[in-house]
Amino acid sequence: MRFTKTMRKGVSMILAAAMISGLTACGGAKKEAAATDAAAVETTAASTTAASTTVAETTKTQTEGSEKKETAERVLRMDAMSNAGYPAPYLASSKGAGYAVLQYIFDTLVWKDDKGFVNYLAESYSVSDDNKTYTFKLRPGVKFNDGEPFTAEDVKFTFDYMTEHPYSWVSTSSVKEVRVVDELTVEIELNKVYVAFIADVAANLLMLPKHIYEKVEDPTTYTEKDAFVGTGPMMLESYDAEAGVYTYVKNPNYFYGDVQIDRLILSPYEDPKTALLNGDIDAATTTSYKQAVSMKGTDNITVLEGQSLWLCRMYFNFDNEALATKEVRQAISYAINRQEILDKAFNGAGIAGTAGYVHPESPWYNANVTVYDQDVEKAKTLLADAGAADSNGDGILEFKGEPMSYELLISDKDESMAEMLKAYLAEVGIELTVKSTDDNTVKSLIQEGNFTIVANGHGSFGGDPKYMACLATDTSGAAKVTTQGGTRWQNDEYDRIFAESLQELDQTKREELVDRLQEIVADELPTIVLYYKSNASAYNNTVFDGFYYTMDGISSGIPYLYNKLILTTGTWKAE
Amino acid sequence: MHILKKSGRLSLRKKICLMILGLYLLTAFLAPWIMPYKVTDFSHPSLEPPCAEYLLGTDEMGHDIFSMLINGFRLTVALSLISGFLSTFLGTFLAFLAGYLGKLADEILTMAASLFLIVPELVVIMFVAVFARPTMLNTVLVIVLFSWPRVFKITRSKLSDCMNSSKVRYTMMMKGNVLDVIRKLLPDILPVIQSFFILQCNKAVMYETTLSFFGIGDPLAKTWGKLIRAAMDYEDLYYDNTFLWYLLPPILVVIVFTVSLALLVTEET
Repeated sequence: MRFTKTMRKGVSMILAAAMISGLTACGGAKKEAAATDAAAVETTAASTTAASTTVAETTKTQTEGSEKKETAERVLRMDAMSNAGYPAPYLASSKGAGYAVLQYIFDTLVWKDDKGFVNYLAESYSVSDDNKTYTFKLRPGVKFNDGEPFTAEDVKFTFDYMTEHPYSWVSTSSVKEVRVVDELTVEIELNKVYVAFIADVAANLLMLPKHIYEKVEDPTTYTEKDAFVGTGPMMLESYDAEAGVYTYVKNPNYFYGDVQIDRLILSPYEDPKTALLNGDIDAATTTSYKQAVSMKGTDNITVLEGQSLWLCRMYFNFDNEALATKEVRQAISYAINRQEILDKAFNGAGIAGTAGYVHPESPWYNANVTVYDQDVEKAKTLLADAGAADSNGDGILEFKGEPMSYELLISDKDESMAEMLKAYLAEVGIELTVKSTDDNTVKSLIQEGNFTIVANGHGSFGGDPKYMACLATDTSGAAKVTTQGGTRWQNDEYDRIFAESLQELDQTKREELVDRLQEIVADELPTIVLYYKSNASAYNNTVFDGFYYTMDGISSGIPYLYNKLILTTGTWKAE
Repeated sequence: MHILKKSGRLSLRKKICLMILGLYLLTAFLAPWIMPYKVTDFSHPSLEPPCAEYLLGTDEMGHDIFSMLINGFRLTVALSLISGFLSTFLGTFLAFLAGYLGKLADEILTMAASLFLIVPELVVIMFVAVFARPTMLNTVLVIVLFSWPRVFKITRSKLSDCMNSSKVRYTMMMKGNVLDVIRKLLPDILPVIQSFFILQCNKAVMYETTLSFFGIGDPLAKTWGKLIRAAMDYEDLYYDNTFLWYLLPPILVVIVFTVSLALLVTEET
């Protein structure tokens, strides 16, 4: 519950706690919070509130409005992910939520729609024979929404600037040099062959306006209104940081089709399903899978099911001698019933975990890796072989004299899963004490390596198997949210094959390499995948139609309906 | 117990309260025999509506809700009695210590208690509980450690009156040991302590339920607060009437318990 989570944080928790004299008060406070939410949306929709930052020139839209007096303003309202931050590259959250609010304003050279890559700011591109140099021909006549033209200089500037000021979502470490050939042609030379360059860099790196950012020393603190100038279909009108509400207006000079709406409002809802059914929003994309699917058959509601781009897995601390032993991790894997976890703790909204890390529906999936169906006896044998025995008869095994009793860290939404994991491992003689805290804390403890066992999930998973970098020793190519800190699993063979796979241009050969990687993971189990989460969203098809899930998610696996191209290809229905 | 002894003279209201509380205690004691299933058993079909097999249906994971509710009696009543007793004991003991030793000890303890009283107890309890290891024992300890000052304050002022009474002064003069002094004081302060014990039990339940509701404390202990939270987290709670058997029963038992405790010590008007 979002409310409970926010409550838990720092001062707000303490203040709120002071108000609570009993449980009934909780109910009251909750309603109030919901009411303020709704009020915030209304005020931002009507005009800009004093608290919010006005960015785009509102006069422009006002004159436009008077031109076509007859037609009412087309306002599309969607639910937003929370804590996404200001929609400028260096100010937004480093998670997918941040990128989702950015991509309406900022553009990339290549972009994706529901079917795959489309040339976007780049009209076309070619690759040199040695596969190291990419030449991009830019689309002519593209303008930033402050009127300045977009040229090759901006592309070069963006790469240089993002090398100097690293941007957490995309790494430019693969790029050696960017050269401006003419005003609309730019050459990008790589350090070495990188097969995922288009998917990983060209389709993700947001082009910054040189004439603005060249003056910015520290972009992480620069919040002037020109920090939000891009070439995208929408312009930022206001962002209410308190309420997390984004209001965008149409960019009339957009280069890639006509934007079908005048305004887009994103605001967070605790219960997007109810908000959609009540008509507070026109599309609900942050709903849980089960909530969205439960709306199937409702009048005027279209339910979409998307690819699974999020997985939940167990992380182990390899400082712990027992957990660093392969047989122990295999035993743990045999002790767990993944299908039951999925069905009971997560309402069956996904696919049970497989050992090779790659999603079973992915074209890269290797179906021949070891399968770990629940087998308590086998788990016990493996533990016994590894040298674990219960010498003092307390029901808990000892490994080299240390009792196999570990703290399992989970996010507070996952208590059911924790209860099940605890029960499974108790069967084989491993004791878990469960510690739950809010999701952000769990994620940062994983990054710091400050845990024994964690069960948690992350996105940035899907599409090109470059995401398997998170299990390699060198994780520089992996999205930060997918990596683990502290002492980690290390395997020379895995590192070698992974590095090879990034440079292999022959698809079949690359598939073989990725298959081998999955075999190693399935055998060594540096992590145990518990389940892959499915996505579903719902929208009101009498207001706006034509939503779709982006192929492999927006950018690197953001599984929501926020793709900016939907705003031009979709149809406004509410006339 | 003092109150029980005088139950003949108690009003109807208090009698009813006592009966309810007795019922709670009985349920807590008999819980293992009443519970149809083990509380760790999640092998049942999920989200069954109430039926003969599952009196209050089952939750998403396939726990029997009735078993969890009954198990909550054990956990919550035990926790309430233990923390209530310990915090009353601690408060009274410190109050006695302050009164007996006097001077410096008195000043330090009174100041400490006043300091704690400035901040609402629940805030401090939540704050510390968030950082403590999430076990039931720690929850009890945190509640005890931070809810004694109120007991201390009142008992201390009551004691200072009694300390000056002639019988106590006489015992002190006769160089009677601590036990003698306590024996002389006890009849005077016992009613206060009894009321406090009940109030502290009441508070402990409220605190524990609130902590559980916010997900603080042992995440797997199925207390009433946890049950309420689990119900609130269930997405379709109000769409399919599940709240009738999932959310309402734990809320009712908490309310009835705390109200009965509170009514037992409030004076009739």
